[in-house]
This record gives sequence, structure tokens and C-alpha cells, in this order.
Amino acid sequence: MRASTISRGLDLLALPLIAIGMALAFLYVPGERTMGDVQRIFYFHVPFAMSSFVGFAIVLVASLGYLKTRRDAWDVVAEAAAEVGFLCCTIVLLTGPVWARSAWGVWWTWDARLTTTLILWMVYAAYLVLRAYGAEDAKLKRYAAVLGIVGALNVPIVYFSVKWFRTQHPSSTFFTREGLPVPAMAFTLRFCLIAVLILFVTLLLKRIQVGKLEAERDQLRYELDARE
Amino acid sequence: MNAYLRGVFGVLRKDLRLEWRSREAMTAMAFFSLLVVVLFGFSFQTEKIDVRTTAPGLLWVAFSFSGVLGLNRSFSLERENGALRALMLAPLDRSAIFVGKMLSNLVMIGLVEALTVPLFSVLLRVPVLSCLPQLTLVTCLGTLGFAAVGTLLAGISSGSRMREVLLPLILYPIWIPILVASVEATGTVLSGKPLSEAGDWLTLIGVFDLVFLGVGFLFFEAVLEE
Amino acid sequence: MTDPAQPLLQVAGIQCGYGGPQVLKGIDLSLSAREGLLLLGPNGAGKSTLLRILAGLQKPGGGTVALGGRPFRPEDPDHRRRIGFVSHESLLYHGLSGRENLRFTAELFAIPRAAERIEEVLRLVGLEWVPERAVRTYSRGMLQRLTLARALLHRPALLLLDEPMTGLDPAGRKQLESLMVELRSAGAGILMTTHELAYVRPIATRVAFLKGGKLVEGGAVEEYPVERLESRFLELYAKRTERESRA
Repeated sequence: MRASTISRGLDLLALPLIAIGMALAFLYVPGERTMGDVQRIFYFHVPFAMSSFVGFAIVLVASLGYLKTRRDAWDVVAEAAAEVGFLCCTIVLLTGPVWARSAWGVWWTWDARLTTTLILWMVYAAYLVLRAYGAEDAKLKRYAAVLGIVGALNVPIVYFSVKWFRTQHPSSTFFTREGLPVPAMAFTLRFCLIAVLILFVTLLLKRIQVGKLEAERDQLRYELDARE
Repeated sequence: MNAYLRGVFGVLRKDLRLEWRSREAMTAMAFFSLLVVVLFGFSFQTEKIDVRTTAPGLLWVAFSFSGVLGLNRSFSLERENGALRALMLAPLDRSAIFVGKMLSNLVMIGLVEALTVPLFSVLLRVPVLSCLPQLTLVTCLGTLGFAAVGTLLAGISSGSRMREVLLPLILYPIWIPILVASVEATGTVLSGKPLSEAGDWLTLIGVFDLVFLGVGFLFFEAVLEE
Repeated sequence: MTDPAQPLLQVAGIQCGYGGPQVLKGIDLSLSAREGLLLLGPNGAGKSTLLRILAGLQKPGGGTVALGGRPFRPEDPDHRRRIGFVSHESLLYHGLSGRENLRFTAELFAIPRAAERIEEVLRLVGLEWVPERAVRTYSRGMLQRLTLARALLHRPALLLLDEPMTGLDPAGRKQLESLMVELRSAGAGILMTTHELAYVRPIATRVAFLKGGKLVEGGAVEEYPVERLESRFLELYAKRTERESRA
């Protein structure tokens, strides 16, 4: 009961916060001097990128938890985190090029961050493909847990390989990180970060509930088949 | 002999004997590897390919493609008549099964690579003789990681509904960073530079190898269970 | 190591269903040396799942298994040495010859004087003439005998047989039957599933019916002549069979 109350509370919180975040990003905060209005996409791009990393971390922990305890609850959490994380990662990959097109003049460049995100997106996709076309129930959960662990442990290796890859092949487009100059910008970014993380948690809880209902449905279906 | 090693080498010898009987996996892998090299040769229509960038990439793509064939074959043999179950019933540590299968895959993929390199060198006119020891080292390190994570994931794909189709889908995204590192290190070596220039890459490959040998060692049992 | 006063196998409250539907909902049974328990039930009732759990291939969702009075730990090599398992699959490498397969098994089990033992087991299953060619080329009956030889090679005290008669001709069944009876009187405990009720009756000392994830009925084999076995089977699973035939 309490979990569902929290979940409902977050539902009510998430959408207004996102709406306010949008208002802040598009109306309140001043446009960046050199990049112009397109820079505003960062206020959502960055939080979603962070959420997708959080998703990976949850997949790792829940997968380890599942293999250790074999409790279905862990598996449901891992699957939910992967799906929501995948969604966040997709948003990152869609919003990034919009900015890149106007800043660098190209939709895509093999920059370290972009490439890392693309690879992580593919790892998420591989995990979801396994879950979608996998195996019998108990096997599938173990398989998914192992792949989840492999995928998450690979994240730092992906990051370093891509980073060094870029430094070995200097490209014309450098992604330099500058501090956000105006306090309003920092505030907006922080606000959006919290809003998106709350949205992430809301979706995660929703997906976990769906996962539990699915398990219940499968059990009922089996009972029905087995009934004499 | 120690029981653990007896298990490891028992599995390894059994795999190699099975392969020696039919030679089907090696034939398929070597032929496919050659095909990849020739396909590249035709599709890029190059008289002389760039030793620093294109050549190592091509080589590792050939290794990755033919390697997946071998991994799939290695596990379809185990699953075909439930033979993997017999391994699990035997009184040996299940990580020994992982190590044995990993070694047999390493040997077979390594042999195919040893066949591919001279063909590649002749067909695409990339000199390899001058840097053979360095090239061997880089290839062995990269292939070790491939065999480690590949054996673990082939255990998964072979038990799934999609079987052979699934392995490249789940393996390649994981494999990309080390593919990149191996290509870079091979490029350094092929262009005649000292091995030390590829130091970072070799470290990265080494870390990957260790991490996924460890993961396979710890979690292969969860893959085998029913 | 084994307490002879304890039953060979003691199973209490075995459940299975983590990661899927609850197939087994509390199985209790015990099996002593020289006993043969015939486990009956329709397809999908969970017989194979139970056997896989007892073989240590699958973890139960709950309940306990004891071997000779000690908790069963599948990771313990000594426990695995005491179990012989035959499933509907051969568990063999069909690209190797019969003897090569047995040699590999002997290696994994570290069987002393392996060559002698292999010939002994081959004689036992009536396959001493087994050819040195790939198992792939063997007939169904030869394959089934070889499957059994693999399971018997390490002299297991507990035999778990999942449909061991499949694919055997009447002569083969007869031979397997007398082999099992022999092993049982030599001290082995046998737990088996089958649909060929008539053939396995001599192997069994007891029967049990599995239904709805539990053992619902059972008794000494003498109480169940073949006709009664069949009629009880049909009565117990009537509705299910009816529905399946409609579907």
C-alpha cells in the first residue's frame, strides 16, 4: 500500500515538474551567447544522459541481486530499469544531433560522448532483444542478469576506448566543456535534472508494477491450464 | 593431477577431438574469414589499402565474424543432445567447464587467425613478416577477450530461442571497445611503430580480458543451470 | 559418509516455480536402497522438473533434499557421484564414438581402471560389440543403451530415469527391465517416470501419482496391477486429457 502511495505521489509530481522545467528552459533562462537558442536542449539532454547511466547502475545491482537471491523482484527491477534507461538513452541520441547540427554543422560526429552513448544504447538494445526473444522463464531471467552484468561492467571500458580513440584521431570538432556562465543557467539545469530524475523514478515504478502484474498473469494462466 | 585441471583439460581435449573428427567448424570459419577479406578487397576496389587504418580494421572484422561462427558451433554441439547436462552432472566445478570451453574456442579461433593473416597479407599486399611477434601478441590478447566474453554469451544464446542468431546481437555491442583497442594496437604494429606506442590500448585490452574472464568464471554456472 | 539407517533420498516440500509458473507445490517423498519408485502423471505435470531438481541440474524454489541423511548440495562432487541421470535426450556427443563418450565421462568422474569399467558397463547394457564410429550412426536402441551406460559408469547409488524406455524395441525393454531389477536388488534406489506402464512395473516397488504440483496418491506396486494403474491414471487426469483433446 505504501509503495503505491509513493508511486501515486510521484505521478502527480513528475509532470508538473517537467512542465516547469520546460518553461524555465525555454522562457526563463537567457539564450547562450555563441550557440544561441539551440543550446536550450541541453537542459533536457544532460539530465536524460544521467538518467540512462543511473539505469545501467540499477540494472547492474538488480542483476547481481537476482543471481544471488533468485528473487523475481530483482529481475523485475532490472528489466524495468533497462527499459526506462533505454528510453532515456534514446532521447539523448535524438536530442544530441539536433544540437550538433547547428553547433558543428553535422548531425553526427564520432565524438567520444556521442559514440559512448551510441554503444551503450546498443548494449541496452541487445539486453532488450534477449529479453524479448529469450528463453523459458527461469532461464531467461538468469541469462538477462548475466548480460546485464556484462553490459554494465563494460561501460567504463567503452568510455576509455572511445575517449582514447578520439584523441588519437583529432577531429575538427572539439567538444570543450565550459562552465555554465549565468547562475540562471545553473539553476535551470539543476531543476531539470531533478525533474527528469523524478520522471525516471516514476516510470521505473510504473514499469515495476507492470512487471509484477505480468508475473501474476502468467501464474494465473498456468493455474487455469492445470486445473482439472 | 588436480581435479579442477583434469576437468578443464578433459573438456578442452574433448572439444578438439570432436573438431578433429569433422573439421566442420574450422573449415567454415577459415572459409568465411577468407570471404570477408576478399569481399573487402572487392568492395573497396583498392590497389593498396591503408596499413594504419583500413587494414587492421578489416583483419579484426574478419576475426570477429568468423569467431562467432566458431562460438556458435562450439555450443550447438553441447546443446544438441543435452551433452552440456552431462557436464553439469559430472563432479567438477562448473567454472572448469567455462575455462575448458573458453580455451578450446581460443585455440580454434587462434588457428583460423593464423590462417587468415598470410592470406590477408598476400591478397591485400600488407607486409606482416617484419612485425610478426608484435602482431601475434596483439592478436592473442584481443582474441583472449573475445573468447572469454564470447564463450559466456554463446552459452546464453545457445540456450535461448533464437540460438545462433542471437549471439552476434548480444556479443558485438559488448565487443566494440576491445575491437577498437585491438584495431588501434594492430594499426600501430603494422605501420612498424614500436609496441610501446600502443601501450594504453594493450592495457585496456588486458583489463577487458581480466574482467570478462572473471565474470565468466563467476557467472557461467548461472548460464548452465536449467 | 552415508548412514545406512537413513533413506537414500529424502525429499520434503519441494517447490519449483521461481522465474515461472509454480509447477511443483510441495513434493514429499522418500526412497530407500533397493526401492524403485514409479512416478506417474501427464505431460507437463512436473515429473521432469522434479527429476532435474533431484539431479542437481536445477535449483528448487523451496523445500529440502537429503541424500543418505545429509542435505543435498549439488556443488559437492561427492554428491554428484552418487547420482545417475537418464533423460529423454542422450546427453552424449554424437560426433564421437560410444567408447570415446564413455572415456570422456570416466575422465570427468575420475573413475579408476576406466578401460575395464567401460567394458564392464557395455556388457551390462548389452553393447559390448559397440562399433568405433560416431554415435550419430547408431540405431535408436543402441543409443538408448549407450545413454544408460553413461549414467551407470560411475556406479551411482541413486538412479533417476526420465522415460528410459523411449525408443527401445520389446527385446531392449525386456533387457533394460531385467538390468534395472538387478541393479535394484544390488542396492540401488531407482526413481523413474514413464508412460509405458506395463514394462516398468517389475522395476518398481512403489508408485506415486503427481497432480497439481503434489503427490496425490500412491502405494506399493502390488496394490496397482497394470489394469488398475491405467484406470487410475485415466480417472485422475480425465478432465485434463479431455480438454487437451478438445483443444
